[in-house]
Amino acid sequence: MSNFQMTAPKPTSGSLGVGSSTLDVERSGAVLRSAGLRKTYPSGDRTLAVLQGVDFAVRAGETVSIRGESGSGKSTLLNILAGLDRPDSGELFWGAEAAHKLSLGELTARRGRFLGMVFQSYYLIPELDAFANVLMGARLVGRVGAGERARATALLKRVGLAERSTHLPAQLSGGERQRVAVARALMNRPQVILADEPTGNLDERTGDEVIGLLLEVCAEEQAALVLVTHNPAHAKKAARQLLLKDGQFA
Amino acid sequence: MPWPVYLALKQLFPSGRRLPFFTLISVVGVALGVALMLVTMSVMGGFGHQIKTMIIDTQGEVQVKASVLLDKPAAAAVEKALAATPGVQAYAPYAAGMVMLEFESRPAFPAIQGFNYAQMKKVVPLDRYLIAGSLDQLDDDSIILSSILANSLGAGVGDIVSVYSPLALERARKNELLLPRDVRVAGIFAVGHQQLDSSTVLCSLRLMQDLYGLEQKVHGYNVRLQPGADEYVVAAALNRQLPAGTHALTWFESNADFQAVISFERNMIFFLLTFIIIVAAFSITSSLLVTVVRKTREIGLLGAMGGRARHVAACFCVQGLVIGVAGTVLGVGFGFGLLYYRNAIVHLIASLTMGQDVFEKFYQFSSLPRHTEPRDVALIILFSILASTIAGLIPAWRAAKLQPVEALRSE
Repeated sequence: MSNFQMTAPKPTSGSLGVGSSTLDVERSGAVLRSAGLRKTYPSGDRTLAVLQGVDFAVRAGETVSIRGESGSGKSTLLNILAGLDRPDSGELFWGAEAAHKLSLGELTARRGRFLGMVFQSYYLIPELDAFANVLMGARLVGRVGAGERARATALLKRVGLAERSTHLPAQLSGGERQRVAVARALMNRPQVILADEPTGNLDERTGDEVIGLLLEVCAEEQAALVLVTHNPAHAKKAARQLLLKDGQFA
Repeated sequence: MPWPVYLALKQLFPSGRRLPFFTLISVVGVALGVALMLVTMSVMGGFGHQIKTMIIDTQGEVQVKASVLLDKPAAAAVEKALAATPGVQAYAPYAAGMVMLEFESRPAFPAIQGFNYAQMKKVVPLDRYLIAGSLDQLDDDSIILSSILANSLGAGVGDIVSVYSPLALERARKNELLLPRDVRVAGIFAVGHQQLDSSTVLCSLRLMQDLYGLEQKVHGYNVRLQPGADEYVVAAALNRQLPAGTHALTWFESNADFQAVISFERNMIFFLLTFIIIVAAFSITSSLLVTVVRKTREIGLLGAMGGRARHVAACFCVQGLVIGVAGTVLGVGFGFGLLYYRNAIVHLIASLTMGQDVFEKFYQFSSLPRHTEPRDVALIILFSILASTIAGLIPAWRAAKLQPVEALRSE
């Protein structure tokens, strides 16, 4: 089942606020937890260690920001937490489920319900209008009924785009597109939202608005938010701020 | 609706936007291939069907032929066998040969067939092809000319033409003189086949027997079958009962070489035209591969949102299938439209290039025949949709192979 190399968990620093990586997941209340994540990439004749034993946890409804320089491993960590990429070793738990023991296919099957993702480049489907893009999250996990349509409508209203639900992405501004992406990420009532530089393509004011919206709706939906950002002001808005440096949390 | 189908349809036919160029080109490519196949197979089928109808209308479904002339007792034995064979509706004796005609110093050398009209009209619907005169006026001193032959002689109904038979040559060797027989033109017929229409003369059996000195002998019988009767079954039954020296042949066997050529040409044309659909399928593959490259990050997004690789693959297979179905439907409609206006189109092309007369002279048919076999249409539809769906497999495989994390990173 698993291609992960199981390593002996090591004690973690208090910065994570979850004590040790061996902490019982059920008891810790963490909805997303990793322990001892390591990831290396070949770089010429050398091996580049991007993640060097990262321990991480986030509780339901909690907001955590991760900052770090370019190449510090932020996106790699986010991809591994999302189950899109595999660590060389370490453990990953989605709720109580040992995600590191699942195949990529099994992770894909569970991902749509467990977490939502927001990307820097929005990644809206250009052929679908705003409403259909939001509903696509539900389509992918096989549930589209009156309830899902009502929720998509409500989410668009919540992100301030009720009047623009029939507009195609090309007819929306950057900020509006990112709002649609936020609504889409929340469609399946995920336990965790992973946002990778969601304001990277926006001007400062629009970026502030999007971050504010993201924090508000995650709180309303009781979804944990993991926000990867370069912007210190945006990072400070999260309840807990982490700095990734040389493949580890500083 | 499953999301791969939903997304495939949205990508091919996005609402509120113009039809994507790739979709248009792919659908039109398949449609043109299907239309061309349908038109070609229908026209080829039309030639075959027209020839079959013409052969059956002029000689019946079965012919009984003798290796020697059938005298009265032999003919009686043949007629006894014909009367006793189930499936036989009517039969008529015939005698055939070649003669020379002359009208106002213009000669012609047509084939001639003599028959008993009272019997023959139950076998061959000659009146259907008569364009001037009347068969009722056909007696032992008159003939019926085929249309092009009448035209080349300049003879019309009521004119007197001279008939020279090969018997005159035999008599000449014996220093005897056999004068030509002057006969009246009682009618003119046209079956629509250049070869038959340009050199055929019909006359009464007695006149033919006189011209050839056959006394009361005949060459064979044309046989009309009851509706629904199988010509091969009847011919086989006849061959078990016919006297020695005579045998029954179906219309197909009587013209086997000609039919084999038509059948071979038809099959070869079908085979060659399938390449048009294959080329269209390659264009679908190419278009969808470009789409996969163009939408790499969207494919990554679908994976990131929980879309499984096999469903992503299905999305592209469905696009191939939908292009195939849309192109096929359009192609079948376009093909039938072309078939409906085929003669107008052909006449327009002929008049712009070689001229209508030259066209009819060289191609033997004045109008383009058409016979569409449901089996051919089904085969074309099946092949087209199958080829288009298979064309989607390579892009689908490429899309399914993309890892979401790599796809999202792509520029």
